[in-house]
Amino acid sequence: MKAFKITYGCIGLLIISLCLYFGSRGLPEKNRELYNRAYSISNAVESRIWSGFHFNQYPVAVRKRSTEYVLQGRKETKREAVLPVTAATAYKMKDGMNILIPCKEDMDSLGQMAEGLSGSGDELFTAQFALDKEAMPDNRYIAILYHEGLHALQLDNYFERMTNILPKHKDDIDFNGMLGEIDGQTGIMDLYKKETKTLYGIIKSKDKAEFKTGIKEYLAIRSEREKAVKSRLGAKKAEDFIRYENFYELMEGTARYMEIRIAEILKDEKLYDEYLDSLQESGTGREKYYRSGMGICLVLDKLSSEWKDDIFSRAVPLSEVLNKLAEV
Amino acid sequence: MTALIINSFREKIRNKTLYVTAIVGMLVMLMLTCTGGLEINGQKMISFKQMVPVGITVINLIGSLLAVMISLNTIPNEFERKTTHLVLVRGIRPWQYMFALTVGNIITSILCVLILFASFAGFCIFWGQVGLIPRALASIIMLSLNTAVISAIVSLFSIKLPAFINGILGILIYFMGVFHNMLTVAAGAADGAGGVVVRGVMHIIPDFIAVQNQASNFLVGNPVDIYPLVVQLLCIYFVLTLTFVTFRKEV
Amino acid sequence: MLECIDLVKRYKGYDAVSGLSFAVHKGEVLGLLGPNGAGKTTTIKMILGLATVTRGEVRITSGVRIGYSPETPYFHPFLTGFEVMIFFSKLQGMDRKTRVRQIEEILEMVGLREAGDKKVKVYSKGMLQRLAVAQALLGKPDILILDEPTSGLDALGRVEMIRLINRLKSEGKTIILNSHILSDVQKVADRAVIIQNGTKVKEIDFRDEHTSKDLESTFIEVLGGAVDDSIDYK
Repeated sequence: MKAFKITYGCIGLLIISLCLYFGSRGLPEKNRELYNRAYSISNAVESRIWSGFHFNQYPVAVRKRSTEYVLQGRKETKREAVLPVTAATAYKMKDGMNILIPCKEDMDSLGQMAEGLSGSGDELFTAQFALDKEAMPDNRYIAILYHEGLHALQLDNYFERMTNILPKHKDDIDFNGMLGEIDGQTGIMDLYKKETKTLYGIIKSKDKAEFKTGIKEYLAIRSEREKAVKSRLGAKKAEDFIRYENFYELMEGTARYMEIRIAEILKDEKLYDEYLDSLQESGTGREKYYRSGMGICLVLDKLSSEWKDDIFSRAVPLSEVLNKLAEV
Repeated sequence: MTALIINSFREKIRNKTLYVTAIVGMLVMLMLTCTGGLEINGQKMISFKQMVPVGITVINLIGSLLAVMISLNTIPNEFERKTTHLVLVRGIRPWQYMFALTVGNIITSILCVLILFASFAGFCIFWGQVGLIPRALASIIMLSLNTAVISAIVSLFSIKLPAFINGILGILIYFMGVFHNMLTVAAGAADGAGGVVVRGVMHIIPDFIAVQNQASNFLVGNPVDIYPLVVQLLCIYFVLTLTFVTFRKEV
Repeated sequence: MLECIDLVKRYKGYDAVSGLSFAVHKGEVLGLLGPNGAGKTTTIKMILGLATVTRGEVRITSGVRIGYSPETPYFHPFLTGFEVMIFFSKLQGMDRKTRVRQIEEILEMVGLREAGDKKVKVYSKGMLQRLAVAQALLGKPDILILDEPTSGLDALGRVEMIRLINRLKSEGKTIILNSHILSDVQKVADRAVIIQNGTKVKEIDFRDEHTSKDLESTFIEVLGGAVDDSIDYK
């Protein structure tokens, strides 16, 4: 019995020691390295992508288990996780907006979930063991930091105005229910796919005439799809639904656009192409607005260099801006 | 003490628990291969690559629920049949007895998971993907840490609580652990005394999702964080230590 | 060898055993008699350390080992009689050589030598009771406590069990026999303690030549006619 007690006690000591050892290892250096890379391109992003957007003004809280390592420039502080999020987000703290993000290792674990799921509960379970789940590329992590950075800008300055796009009675609307209904309509989904494919063609086109025809074609398909949504949901519900779509395109589409542009700044062609190629894929749920919004932003870049200047303060749907700029 | 562990384990083997598990496992894998009924998110699972995550998730889920069922009655049955009398009169201390039965439950539960995995391995062979078996086995062994924790907790509670309440509690703890990260987020946002209680509860609920993440990392070849695994080991150790001081007043 | 001094066991609101005192000496068979709920099983539990003693004392001579055979023995049905014996002998820390030799001897003694390889689930009630006695004999205990060893047995089973107890007695075993079958106790016991409401109401020495009355009459007399239906006077 004495031997058992000693062995059991030793096993306990060993486990506790292992816990202390692995638990005290702090934030892996890789995360600081990625933040520093993100920080170093902040000025380039401000001058080349989004004027007035200063990534380096936002503290980035990298979460490792229940601790957040708050990085800003050369400063680093540690705090208890304020919002132990499962993915990245922008969050308003007492001292201003913070970008909260799980450490790179946790993002690697999340795999495709870090990019957003279609919303299915089954998928939430099974995605974890997906064989094609890969570690997140470093540049994508930086791109996500900027995605959240842009949200920080939106939430800090324009959120009230941006929500004006949504229906007035938004609290009474079951958007997810409508989304599920529309996602189940093969005809409408085919039109969504056709829209993003057309956007892809416009972005890729070298010919001016083809570019203009492409935009017209895109707007026509979009209009056709909106009509199909109307006939499915009824005029009133469809109007609410489309307002939501516009809101997500503006909010998330611009943030996804920031990601692809970061790939460009980082000269990561592979990542850039991955973002761009996503326009050729079909998708469901809200995530499809991330892509269509990004596609419109890339087309807008070809039409004007100033479209971003007041896009959030005016809070106009991206498709409307495209329509107007295309008419000119 | 070894004799008690082996006996508890041997009873489970002989009373067909493991055979039933094997049949359940085979049925699940059969369901996976005959894809007629299996649909995720409106899409039929038709390729091996799509079916693997479903298979591992199902093994994990069924394995954990089986662990609850296996661990629920072992100790109460010993009291009810008064086997306790025959054991305790031989100088075995109550803590040794409860510890041994709990360890027996853990071993049986893990064996059930491995039997379920054997069906999965058969499924891999059927698809000509033998190379995946060792990685998937290591992944399942990591997941067995969760199975061991839930088995240990249910065994400990079974010393004092009625089976019905214990069963519900066990399943609740399991699912709270699986959704640990999301519930922690929700608890963080909760206000007032309720929020404090929920946050406190989330602190003591084992983090099953963290272990699942590492198991999935290993499966797909991503780096594995050892910390959640050793924390789970500590959790098993802690619960086993509690069996030393938990006993019924009257036997 | 074993002495209970002023034993009290208090449960919520009532005393199951209330100031019970008796002793058992080396080589004798002591019968514990009493109606249902008299406190016999609680007393045995206190002797075995399975229930805490509220007050009083169980005094056991140093080094004395106790074997216990329960009233309703449960053995894992998928084990053989031999495996059951192996399991309990391991719990007692017996070495392999002693274990095998002793188990064979005991199974021979209780008449289960041939049935030792059969699974417990095919055992009759009588065989299960004998297996219960067999496991109690492991490690050659100094005192055997047999709780209702003939309960639920048919006539032949009872005869075999009485014969077994007598054999153990002749081998010099000290036995505490808890039973409600008066005739069985009378056949094997040297002394009997009659318990009612947790207290001793009478102690009889069957070896005393002056004990003229039979046990049945004494029992009815001390319990004041309020005889419980559970008592088997046959």
